Amino acid sequence: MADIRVTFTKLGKLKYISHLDLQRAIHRMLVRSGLPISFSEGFNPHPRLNIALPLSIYQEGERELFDFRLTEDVPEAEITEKLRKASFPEMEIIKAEIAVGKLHTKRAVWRLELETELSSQAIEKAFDGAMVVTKRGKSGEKQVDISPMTKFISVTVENNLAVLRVELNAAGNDYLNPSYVAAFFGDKVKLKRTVRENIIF
Amino acid sequence: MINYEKYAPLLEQVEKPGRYVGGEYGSEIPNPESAELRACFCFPDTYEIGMSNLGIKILTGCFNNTGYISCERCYMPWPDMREQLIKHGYPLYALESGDPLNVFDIVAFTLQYELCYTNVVAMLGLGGIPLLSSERGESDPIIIAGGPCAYNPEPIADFIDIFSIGEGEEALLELAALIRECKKNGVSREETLYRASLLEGFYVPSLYTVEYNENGTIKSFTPNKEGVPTSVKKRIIENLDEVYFPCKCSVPFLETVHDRVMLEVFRGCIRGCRFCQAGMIYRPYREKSPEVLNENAKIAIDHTGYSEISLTSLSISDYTHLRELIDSLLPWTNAKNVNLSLPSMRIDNFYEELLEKVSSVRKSGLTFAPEAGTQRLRDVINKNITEEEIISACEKAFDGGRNSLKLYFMNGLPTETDEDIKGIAALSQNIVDTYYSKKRNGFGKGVNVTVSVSCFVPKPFTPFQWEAQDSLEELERKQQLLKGEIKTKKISYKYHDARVSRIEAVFARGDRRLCKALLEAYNRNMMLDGWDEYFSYDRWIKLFDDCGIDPAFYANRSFGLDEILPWDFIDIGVTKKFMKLEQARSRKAETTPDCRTKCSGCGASTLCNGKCVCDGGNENG
Repeated sequence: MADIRVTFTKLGKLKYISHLDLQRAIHRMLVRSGLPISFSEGFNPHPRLNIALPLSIYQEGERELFDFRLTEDVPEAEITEKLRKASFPEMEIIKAEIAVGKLHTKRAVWRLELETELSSQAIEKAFDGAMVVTKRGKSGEKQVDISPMTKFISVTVENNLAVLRVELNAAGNDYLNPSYVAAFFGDKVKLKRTVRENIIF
Repeated sequence: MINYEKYAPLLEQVEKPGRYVGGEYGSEIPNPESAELRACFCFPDTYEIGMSNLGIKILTGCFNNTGYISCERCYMPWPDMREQLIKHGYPLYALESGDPLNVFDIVAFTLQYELCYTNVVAMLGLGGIPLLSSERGESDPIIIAGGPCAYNPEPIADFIDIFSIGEGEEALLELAALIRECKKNGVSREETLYRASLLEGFYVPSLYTVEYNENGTIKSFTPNKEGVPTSVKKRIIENLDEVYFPCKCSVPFLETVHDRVMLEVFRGCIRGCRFCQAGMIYRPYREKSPEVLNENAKIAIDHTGYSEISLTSLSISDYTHLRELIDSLLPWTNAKNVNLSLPSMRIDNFYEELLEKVSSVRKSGLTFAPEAGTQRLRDVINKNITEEEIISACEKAFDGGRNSLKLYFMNGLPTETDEDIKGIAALSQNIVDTYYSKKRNGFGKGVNVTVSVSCFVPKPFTPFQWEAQDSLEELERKQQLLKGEIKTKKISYKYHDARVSRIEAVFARGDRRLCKALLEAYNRNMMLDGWDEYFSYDRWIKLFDDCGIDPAFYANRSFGLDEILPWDFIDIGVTKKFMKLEQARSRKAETTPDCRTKCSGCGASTLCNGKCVCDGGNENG
């Protein structure tokens, strides 16, 4: 009865797959693995699965996380090997280990690739002050300052392509989608690629 | 592998990009670059429908197993993607390589329903392939089509080079071998098509000429080249245990219509309902053994990780070894939390205790198909079930703890009167009353009976192939009549759009002259006619009018028993003589027993050297 934590990639074509579809694909992967998987009770049993944070469609992830449960003990190496065999293209199982603590995510590190004529200095400087963006919610549009949820890490610009790394809030009720960071720069940037590098919990 | 960067700008603009990227688990194929022959199987509807089709899985598997064919897939894009393809100037591409359809040697379509014909033409156009067979040159792909609608290939004949009639596992490999040989030796397209027409089970429309009488009926249908057979015989697989089955099929990311392991238990049907095309064209009845099925199912579940197995066949409770099969499946499916589903149970041999067993993981809905509301009309259509049997089956289901049932009916059946329509309401009410005839515990909501009524469409190769469809007004009047007859909220009444059924009827019994309408439909951007949001009856009627085609000639006319029918040149084993006999019996409300009770001499056993469920050529028809 151990919870297993899996670190995996969701890259390439998988960016076109929605979170719900990914969840179903992982269910099937777990079943295919032949591991003694713990199923939920109830009307429609499925493998117990907890994916740390959803990725929006078109976003990629280099170190994503999910937890699942085994009904009996299996060596970590064997778990990793069986999951690797059962996984699908562009979902690489980096590692599987016995989970320590709950998957309460706090922050996430993102890499945004932006087509822009802005210099790296200009981009970095933007993070100094308030960063007001328009957020669309259930109660209509509102202006929000995202700077308290945003931490600048680094930026490089080469041939009008900026690679911007930021750390954003990623708690369940306090999640900042990196598309707002790009939105802050308005039409001065064009978001080409969004990759979540790491999840901090 | 495909370089998706090229398509990324398109994919970011569409609603469900997952439809257009492939890469599903288990979808790897032999390397296209080193293959001698490249084929692409096209399903002329959306990804979610196409990925559910067992036939495509079987045939792509057969091709990819040859070692010399690399076979890919393609589905009808949704309008948002179509718009992006056109805007960026990219032809429609296959999902594995991302290469446009027009670079393939073979492009194959499955024709599952008449309303997908516009999609076939649209996919050819989007794929950069000349639409008409007569316009294609040496470098263009050879366009093949098969599936149930290929049994009347005429309405779409101008667009297809070769039709495959019947089951394709063996036939298509023979055709592929021929095409490979012709390609290797630089044989011309024309000669390749001619050679294909000599193989059993293939129809090359360009090699036949049709002449018409003044009244619009067919005067003659003849080969226009020496040696081309006058009749095309359908192909079948004699031994289902030995034929390829795709246990290791690919697993889609998107939720598809049938997102589960589909286990084909048998082909054909012993019943002989007179409206049912599948019941005739898939004869003779052939079963797979329970041992092979159990083995297939195990491999499929281990490979895919699916949580459900559906036993698919026309009337699953007719399977001789059903109990044995279920008893061998259940111990391991229960252990793996895999659900078994048994669609298409017949009312007269439905076993609640069996259903109880199979739904031990998840309980699924129960559906019966009485098809008609009165005994007289059920006898006309040869449904061979009585009201007592219906009520008793429903009672068993209620006793087993179910409180929700779905019933399928048809309206517009031959000889139907208002009494028959009222009979649907009466029968449904009777079922509701049956529920309340006993005190039942634990279900606060009471019973719900869903009555779903479709419109009768006369289909080729059925005893009703000569019958006229009711006029649109009459079908709609009957739908409203039934609505007025249903007095309780315990019955939910649903009915199909009669206008869709009418267009379906036009194409179902159409001839070659309808190709002109399909071409014009393409020019008018008409497609996705199976989708309510894109189907427009008024546009179709306007189009027929502009093309000088009278839809009533095809849909609402009683065809003469001695008339040459557009599909007469196809030999399905079941004889026209048998169809006529059945038609005559229907007019007298006389039933014909199922094949197991008594052979009716339909002729299908000739396809199996006399081997059949009835044990042989009792030709009393």
